Amino acid sequence: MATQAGLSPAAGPLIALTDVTRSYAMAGVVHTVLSGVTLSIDSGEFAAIMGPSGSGKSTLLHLLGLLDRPSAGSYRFAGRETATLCDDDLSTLRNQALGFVFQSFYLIPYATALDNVLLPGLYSNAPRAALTRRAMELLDKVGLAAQAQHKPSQLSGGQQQRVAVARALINDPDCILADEPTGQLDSATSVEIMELLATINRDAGKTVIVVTHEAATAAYARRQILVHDGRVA
Amino acid sequence: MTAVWRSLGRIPRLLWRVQAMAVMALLAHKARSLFVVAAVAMGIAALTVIIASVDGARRKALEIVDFFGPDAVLVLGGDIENRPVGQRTNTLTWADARAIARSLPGAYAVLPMRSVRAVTLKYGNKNHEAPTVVGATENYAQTWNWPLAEGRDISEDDVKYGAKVALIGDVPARELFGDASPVGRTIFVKNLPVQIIGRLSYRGFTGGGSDASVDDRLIMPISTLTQRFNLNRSYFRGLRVRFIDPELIDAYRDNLRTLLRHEHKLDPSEPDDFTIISASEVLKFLTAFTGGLVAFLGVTAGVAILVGGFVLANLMFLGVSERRMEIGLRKAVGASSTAILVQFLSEAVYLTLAGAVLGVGLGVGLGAFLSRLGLLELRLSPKIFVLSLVAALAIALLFGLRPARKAATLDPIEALRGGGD
Repeated sequence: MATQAGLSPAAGPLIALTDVTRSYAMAGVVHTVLSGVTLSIDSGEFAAIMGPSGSGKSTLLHLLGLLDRPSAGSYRFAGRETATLCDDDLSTLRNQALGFVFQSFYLIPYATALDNVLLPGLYSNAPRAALTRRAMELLDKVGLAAQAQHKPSQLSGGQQQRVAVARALINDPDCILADEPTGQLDSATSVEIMELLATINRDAGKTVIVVTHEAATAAYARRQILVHDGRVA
Repeated sequence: MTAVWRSLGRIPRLLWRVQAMAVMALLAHKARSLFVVAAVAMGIAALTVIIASVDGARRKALEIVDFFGPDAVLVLGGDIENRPVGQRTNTLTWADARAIARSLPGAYAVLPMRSVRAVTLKYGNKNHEAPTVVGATENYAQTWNWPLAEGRDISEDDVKYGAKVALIGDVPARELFGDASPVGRTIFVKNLPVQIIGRLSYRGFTGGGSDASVDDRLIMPISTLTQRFNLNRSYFRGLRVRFIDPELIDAYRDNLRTLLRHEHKLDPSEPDDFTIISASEVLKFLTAFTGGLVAFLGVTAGVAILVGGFVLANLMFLGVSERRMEIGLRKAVGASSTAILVQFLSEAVYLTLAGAVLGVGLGVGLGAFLSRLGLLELRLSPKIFVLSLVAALAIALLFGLRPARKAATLDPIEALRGGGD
């Protein structure tokens, strides 16, 4: 699946931002959230994007996750310029090459843990039987095989976030993007989740990028990227 | 090229999976789904009843025109709509019949009619009370567009010689003979032995308002009826007049009225002492009767369907804002805007289709109730089901498109920011 997204691991960085700016026009006033960001992240890295709230780190993650487009500058993902891609291409790339983990878990409340893990797979072209098998393997890997048929409301916060991590892996993406993954968890559970992400980075070789303002969380990453006032230090 | 084929190959699989997602979402929001289904069902039920009743009225109208004949009028003695006190109803005479046949342009057949009410028919040990015994001239079945199931029609000689023969309707034939053929048998009409020469085919409707079936009758030569039942020999209950060209029936009517007023020597100040009825009159009466109800139902159906559509649109908008997080998440994990649009439109389609099925059921039940009350004649057909499904699809697409587009165009970042807790 990684090859479908056009990835050739040997050639250059996975993520390459060059002089990226993101600004919004609100009531005639232009707010620049990010300016002149140049950043490259190699395949297999574990990076933490840090900064105080309002620094632009969430905007940076949205740009990296192809949920948003730069106002100016170039973003090459796996060697491919993203500015020229249409919305459907971006959807496909998000589906195949990226996995998201959010602060508030964002599980579909009426679907079981298994169905939540399956969700990105259903928007791919993978056959259903293979997807279900893989989803069960992933649930087993995050220690929730027994809870496959539970609804999110029957799971604890830490369990819900583990379902979300399994969901991020279902399409075997190149890169996991986690937005404050421990923001709503107690410290013991936070450790569990960060250990899990570290394992995914180490054992499966996935690039993991975590946005956080907590030093304890950032400490799991081997590289810290500091964002301050819309600029990368 | 291969990339194009690969992406095209994805479409059916994705479409199928999106349907499953739509059904899952509907089942997860049962109360809201049921509300929409019920609202749409009301509209479809009203639609079902209106189509069934319009079809029923049309069929009844066609039967009447067919029975009456589009080229014929009926002249009855006396002004039946508005009868002056003391006016005679025995006003039509042989002289009138002859005058019409001789001098009315376009008239090619004049058939005098007399009848006797409530006559007992007897065969062996079986009795049947026939509400009407009709006196007719030759070729009764042919002139009334009423095919014979078997046997022969009344002939000129039968009328000339007052033959003791009769055509039997379906109801008395069944009562007296069961499944056996009545042709050639002799029955007693009161005390008169009469030979059955033909059996009329089954017509199967009740004539305008009365309970008696048109099939419950016996037809005898008018001469026989007059002689044997001591009827007034000078006058007729009615005259049936047939014209060459059905298109000109209104002009014929006016001429006929002028002629009869002249024959009866009526002063211009005096009202008609006869009534002329044509098929269009009967239809007008029937249309006026059912028309009000049909118009009322039509407006009701339209309003009910609109209400169903608005309920769908509003509950879908509500659903889209309640499910912002879900929509944002789906887009984040790779659902295209089209996939979201298709999912929400599919949800709308499933709801309205369920509403259509329920609505047709309700409509059929309501229709059965109304026709039992005698308010409407209903005709159910597969057309109703098809039209209901089409209406349901139209509601889904018309009222579901805007909320579905709203869902599809949600910005995932905005949607996810609003969701969560």
